[in-house]
Amino acid sequence: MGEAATNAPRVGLFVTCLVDFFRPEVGFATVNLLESAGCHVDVPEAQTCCGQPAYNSGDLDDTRAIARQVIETFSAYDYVVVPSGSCAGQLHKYPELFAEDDDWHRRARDLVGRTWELLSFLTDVLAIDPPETPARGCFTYHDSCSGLRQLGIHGQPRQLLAGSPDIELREMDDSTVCCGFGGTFCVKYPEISERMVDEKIRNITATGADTLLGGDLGCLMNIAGRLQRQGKPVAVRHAAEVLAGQLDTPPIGARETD
Amino acid sequence: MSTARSTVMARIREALGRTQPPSLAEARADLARRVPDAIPRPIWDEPQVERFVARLEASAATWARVNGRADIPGAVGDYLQDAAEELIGIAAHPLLTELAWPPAWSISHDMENAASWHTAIAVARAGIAETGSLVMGSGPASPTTLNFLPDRHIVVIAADEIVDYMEEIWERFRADGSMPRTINVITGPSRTADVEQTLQLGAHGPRSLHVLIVNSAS
Amino acid sequence: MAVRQADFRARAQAALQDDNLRDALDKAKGGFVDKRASAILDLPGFETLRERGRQIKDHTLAHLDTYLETFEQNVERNGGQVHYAADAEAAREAVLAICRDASARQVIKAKTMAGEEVGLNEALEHEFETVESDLGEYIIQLAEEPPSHIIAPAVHKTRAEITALFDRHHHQREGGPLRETPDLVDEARGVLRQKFLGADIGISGANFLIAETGSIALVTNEGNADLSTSLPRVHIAIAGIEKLVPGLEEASSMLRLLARSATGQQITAYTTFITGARREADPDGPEEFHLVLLDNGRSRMLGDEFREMLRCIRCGACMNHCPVYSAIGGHAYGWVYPGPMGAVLTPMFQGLDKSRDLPNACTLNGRCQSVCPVKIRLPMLIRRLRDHEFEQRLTPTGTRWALQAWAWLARRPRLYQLATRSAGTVLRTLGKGRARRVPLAGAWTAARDLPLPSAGGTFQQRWRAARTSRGEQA
Repeated sequence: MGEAATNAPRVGLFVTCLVDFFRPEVGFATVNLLESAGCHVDVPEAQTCCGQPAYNSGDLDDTRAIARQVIETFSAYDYVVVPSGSCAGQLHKYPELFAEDDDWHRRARDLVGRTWELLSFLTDVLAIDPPETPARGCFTYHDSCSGLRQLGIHGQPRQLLAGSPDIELREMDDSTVCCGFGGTFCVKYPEISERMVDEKIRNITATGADTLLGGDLGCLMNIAGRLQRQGKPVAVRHAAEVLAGQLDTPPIGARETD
Repeated sequence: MSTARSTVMARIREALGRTQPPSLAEARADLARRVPDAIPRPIWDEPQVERFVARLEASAATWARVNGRADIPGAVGDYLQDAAEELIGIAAHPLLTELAWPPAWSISHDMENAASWHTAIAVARAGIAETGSLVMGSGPASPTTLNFLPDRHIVVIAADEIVDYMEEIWERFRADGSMPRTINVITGPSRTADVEQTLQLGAHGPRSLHVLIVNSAS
Repeated sequence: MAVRQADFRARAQAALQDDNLRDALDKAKGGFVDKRASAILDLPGFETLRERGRQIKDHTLAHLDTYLETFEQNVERNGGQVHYAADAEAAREAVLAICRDASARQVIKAKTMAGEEVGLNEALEHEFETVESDLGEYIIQLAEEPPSHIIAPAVHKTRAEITALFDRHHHQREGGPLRETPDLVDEARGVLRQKFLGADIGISGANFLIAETGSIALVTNEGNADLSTSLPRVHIAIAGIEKLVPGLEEASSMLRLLARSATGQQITAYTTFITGARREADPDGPEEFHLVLLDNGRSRMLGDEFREMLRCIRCGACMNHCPVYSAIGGHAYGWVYPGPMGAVLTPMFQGLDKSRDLPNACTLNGRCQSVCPVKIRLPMLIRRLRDHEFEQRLTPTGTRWALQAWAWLARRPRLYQLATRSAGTVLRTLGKGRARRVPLAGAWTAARDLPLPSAGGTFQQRWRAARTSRGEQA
């Protein structure tokens, strides 16, 4: 990892709680991609969660408390980059939490102006050349809902993956339909969630792809966990891992041999 | 009833935070500010009547062109084939009643018998090219139930009564000074998809719709 | 109709195990989604039209009192009568009173969601022979079930089930041969034709109420609404007060949105504008026209943060595109309005305490909003209902406790990181090798393996370690 130049954009990485806890490799891949693109990356220690579980459960007081903490923690960066459309989307909702508090509303809007989902940041802000990675095989892409509908992420990952000559991307039917994760939804209504993820898996396997990619770890863990339970041999990875050429760790949910 | 009215009105005004409604003119002015003049509508390149018949076909209707009104009975005969075997109801519209219908046909203008008619013939007030629709305005010359009771519906329309969009027919009815009791905008025969989402024609209304377009020159 | 709130989960569970329902939903889903998508291609300005639809409805709602008065005057000028109904009971009573005054015996009904909302059928059936004429509604009336979809009420019924219903009700037999769709449609046509001709009263809903002329707009494909509203001597229409539009041009714009969004048509086979009762010289049409205008909670929504839900034109696009609806169908939602619109309307009309699951049984994926013809922010409204549940302490205690514990930890980064590090180690130890069954995550692991945290600690832990060693080298 080379040190970025002094005028390099200072990026605060919001790593997300799922990546931090379950899949640190996505965090390292993100840093790798950002640094290769000439950014100076910092990981503020005071970060935890974006507050989405509280927000989507109607606990607005706790959501506000967490939002203030995120706003404070990331106040000094040129950009805040998140390897998740869902969590980036949550940061984008902060201003509406402070409709009655001018100061925090202003600070929340300021944060929104600097906050980007990773794949969108690489293409829409940094306009990097799609990296040529050693990844090979037949891939399919699941468009996670928050990234897609809230942040408009659809073409960006496809554009980035097009730089690798040995990746064949096969689109699945209904790639933009929810996989049934939905945060706490999948544990509150597990049977409905199961039907939804089965539908997604039907579309994934119909493509014959050997690897499923996506930009949100929540959805990917849901799909990977179900694929694993069904014994379906489809590898699941976060797009950042592939784009960073970081393919040595086992795919998400793959059983470790020890 | 009047108490219910005042209860509901009072709730609405409370919700809207006022005691008196704005005038209709004020309301219309607000609407004009919000809604642009250009109405998003389908556009097409082909001549109007071609669009009209293309949409008629898309709606599973059939059609034929006739040169003048005198040719209408012949065109009906061509379509029905066994016209003499049928009970035919004809709307009491001057364009139809004055025609020389073949004496062998069983023709009725009396709506009392409408439930037994196999075929009904009516005249459209207008056609809409956008959708291939026929506009039927109810009245003595155009009973509304006649559009729905028979198995086969034949509608006569003058080519110069075809307009591009539904909005244009509103101008015509406004010019009349009042709306008829019923305006039927009819696009193809009756249909349903309520059994396993399979499209089936002839649900409750006509099983077929045939349109005779009378050329303008006549 | 009373809300069958008892158990959303149980109904959803039953639906998931119903193979017929699954086939029917699969068939319907693709059809509606594909047809809508291709209908939109025909109108390149569709997005502009959605915005126009939103503006028209917002404007009308903001001037609802003005337009209601205008509408009412115009209905009366054309020989019709307007009845206001503050709630469901008042609406039922208004309809019953009109039927009694007319000494009616038989009632024919065209599909009306407002009628379903107030439980009109149950009220009518005590006193009058009441028959639904929309084929889908007729089928579920025979089956004694509520609709499962607002525009395709019998979408959950297979051909075999419909054959059996017709055998029982038309032929008093069991086990007749499976019939083809055309035969079933024809059979219903024959039976219902006699009902149309014999009815004293026809009841319909209204898709739009047009203030300028006092007209109602009705869209159908079967023609049943037209026979219902033109053959009997009395026509009663029932509609929510939010169905108003200012004028005929606005109705035309809304109709373009409705047909494409609902069935993927450019226009339905029959789009009908009814203004008052028959005119003196008319050869047919009803002698009386009554319009029942229903509030039933709408005026309250007009004044609160859920006002935009009143833009809804009941097209069904939200449920057609909802993956939860596609999984469980309409009956699981427990009341007349299913899918995303129902997840908002049922709590609004029936109370949040009676429909606690509905706002939660949603992944907030936003597909409904992206297809809504009047751009209702359904996920936002659904999520707002969760705020109300939380405030009213309707959120289950366990969930509430877990959430607050999590949030407490999330506000203490040092403690949080300590906790995640140790939790990672514990989870790896518990699930070592095979992560099939991990305690405390039963709902997840019932159907999925739980991917284990990677070896080597959390990202924060590893990042700090790497930076420290790098810093030392520098």
